Amino acid sequence: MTSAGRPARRLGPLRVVHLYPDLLNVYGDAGNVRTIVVRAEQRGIEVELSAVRAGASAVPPADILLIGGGQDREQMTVARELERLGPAIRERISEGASLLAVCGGYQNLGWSYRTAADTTIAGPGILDIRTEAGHTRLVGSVVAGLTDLPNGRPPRPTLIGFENHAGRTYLGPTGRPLAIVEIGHGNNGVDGTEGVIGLPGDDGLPGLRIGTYLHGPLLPRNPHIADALIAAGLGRGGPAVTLASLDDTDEWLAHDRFAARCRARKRRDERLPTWLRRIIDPARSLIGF
Amino acid sequence: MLAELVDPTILAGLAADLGRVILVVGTNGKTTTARLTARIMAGVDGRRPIANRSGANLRQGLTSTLVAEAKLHGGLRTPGRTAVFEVDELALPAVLEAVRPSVLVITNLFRDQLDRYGEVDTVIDRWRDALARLPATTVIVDCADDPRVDRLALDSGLPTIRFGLGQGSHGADGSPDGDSPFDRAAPAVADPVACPSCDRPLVFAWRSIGHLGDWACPVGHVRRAEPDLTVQFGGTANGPSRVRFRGAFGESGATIHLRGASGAYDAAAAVGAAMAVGVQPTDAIRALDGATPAFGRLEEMSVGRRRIVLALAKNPASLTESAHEAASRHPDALLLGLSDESADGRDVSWIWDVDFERFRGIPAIGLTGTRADDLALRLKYARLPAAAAWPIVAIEPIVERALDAMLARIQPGGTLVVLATYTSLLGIRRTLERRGVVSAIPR
Repeated sequence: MTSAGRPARRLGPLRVVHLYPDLLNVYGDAGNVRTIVVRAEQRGIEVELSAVRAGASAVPPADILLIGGGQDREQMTVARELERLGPAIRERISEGASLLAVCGGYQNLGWSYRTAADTTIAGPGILDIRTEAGHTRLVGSVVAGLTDLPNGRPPRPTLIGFENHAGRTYLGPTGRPLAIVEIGHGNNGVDGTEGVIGLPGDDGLPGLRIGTYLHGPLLPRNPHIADALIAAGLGRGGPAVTLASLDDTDEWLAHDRFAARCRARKRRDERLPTWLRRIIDPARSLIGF
Repeated sequence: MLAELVDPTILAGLAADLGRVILVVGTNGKTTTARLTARIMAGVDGRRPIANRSGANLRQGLTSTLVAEAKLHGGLRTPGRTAVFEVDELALPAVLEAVRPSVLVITNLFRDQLDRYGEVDTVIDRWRDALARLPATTVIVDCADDPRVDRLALDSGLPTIRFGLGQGSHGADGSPDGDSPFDRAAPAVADPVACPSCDRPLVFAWRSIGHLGDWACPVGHVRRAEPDLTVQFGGTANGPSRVRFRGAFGESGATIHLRGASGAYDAAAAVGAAMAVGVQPTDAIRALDGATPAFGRLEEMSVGRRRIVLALAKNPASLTESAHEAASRHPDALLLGLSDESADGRDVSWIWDVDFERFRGIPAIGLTGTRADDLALRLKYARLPAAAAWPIVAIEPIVERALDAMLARIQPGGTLVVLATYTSLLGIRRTLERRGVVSAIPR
């Protein structure tokens, strides 16, 4: 954790704030929080975990902010909550906190969301995206190639997960895609992008911001993302901290096997004639094959 | 299915020949509730009611069940028979177009296979539309402890019989919400339910399973009203359960081989269904005596003087409940199975909404199924006291091999609990059937 010869600098505590667990909490979102906590503790970093719930009037000091997915109704409530607390969340990121936003929370933190009834709900624009309701759900396993992560080459160039969303999300002018889809639909099923990444310094915000549709949950099987969030958060707006490496054999085994199964299924599917796939594919996307 | 293609009105035609029709819908407990209801109605009618198998719960499944009972030229061989059908959550609207039930039992609604069923609110909306088209004589039997389901039943304007747990017989630990470390540690198990008036998350005086409990809006817009039929359960860890019912009829009890809160709920739902068709509550309760579980609902069998308990885990609520029952048997070994075939659900992220710390203290754990890797990770991130490690003795995706590895670990007289999703558990049961340990799945 420290270079030889220098006095040991104690890292942490890592202040983890879970945003709206009482409203947005499907798709195993709790697993993302758990992964951050355990991976910090395994490195001897103390963790202070707190939550911002409906009706809260402030966002506590934070090194990592996490927000999960939810149903339409709860997302509407969160949109109202963010009218009040959006600026406070942005403030934490401007102090250097990292952010992970998944699915519903990802949509909520963009610039806007246009509903099926054609009303547009403004968001705080913490992520440079906008979202429109779609008529069909984009459901299934995803394998995607990562674009940039801070701190050089990650241990795997891929991101894996499971998507299940009706919203179609489009990147804004400064929004960088988190990944490029190899298998699956991604942000909108059209442009091949998945998620958004705001690198430290982008949009004048020093915090690392990651938004994605991928759950599964995301972090246990994508530990490179978990560590990027921890390292940037502990840097508190300065350079990211170098983290001790952990034994991630199980994590990468699950990651690699999942990617391999998805690719094998895709190769098998590609051997089917086009006319048959045209019938099967929509049916599959309905039931999540 | 072919019959439906030939004549799409065939289900409606055959169903018109039925006497009383009891439909059971809900996320958890459909199969057991339908089974118990059929048991009661068999006693009342003097013959078994027509019933579908648990897998055949879509519209086509009901059709093929009735076609098997039909005459060659149409109509049922024996008109006027009672029918008890369990119905898939999404299939309910299509089934109600063809079948006019006397009773609709709604057991509960949990987050389940989001990839297939979508959001819980979407399911509720579909049900609301379907209920609006029911004749005013249909009786809704619903779980008063499930705020969304109870609201739906009351909003329908139809007559209701509401069942729930009685005072002092609460959840997984028989204790009020917050009293067990489990409840404090895992609020995530309950999916959030909002007050329909103000959108504030509901608060609970106690919870039994997930979001089932004594619920209220924090500022008083809505609250759970006292159920028409309450049930209390008790019993020893390995013996049968004693269930006691209370209602306008007084009080009455039965001994059943169904465990815990889920067993009590299912029993209450069945008694409610029978009451709704005019059966005396005390007769219905008496008929429950000795009832046994359906496939994977804590089924017990023995092989070479070792006891095996099979428990199905379909979603966070059922895994949590089964895990509690499993732990209460102090197993010598636990085999967890997770697969992602379409019958299991492709999306397995829900395992992260379940408290796995509960398995602490079990001497040997095995992991199986197509997603055994994900279970290994889940356990890795379930925190144990410092320096402790999970006693994982096998990670074997092939269920038959995993079963043998675990059986080899336990001594005669020992207990192996198998807790698995549908296809993994079915694979294990089929293996045991081939070996003559247990007969084919009872209908």
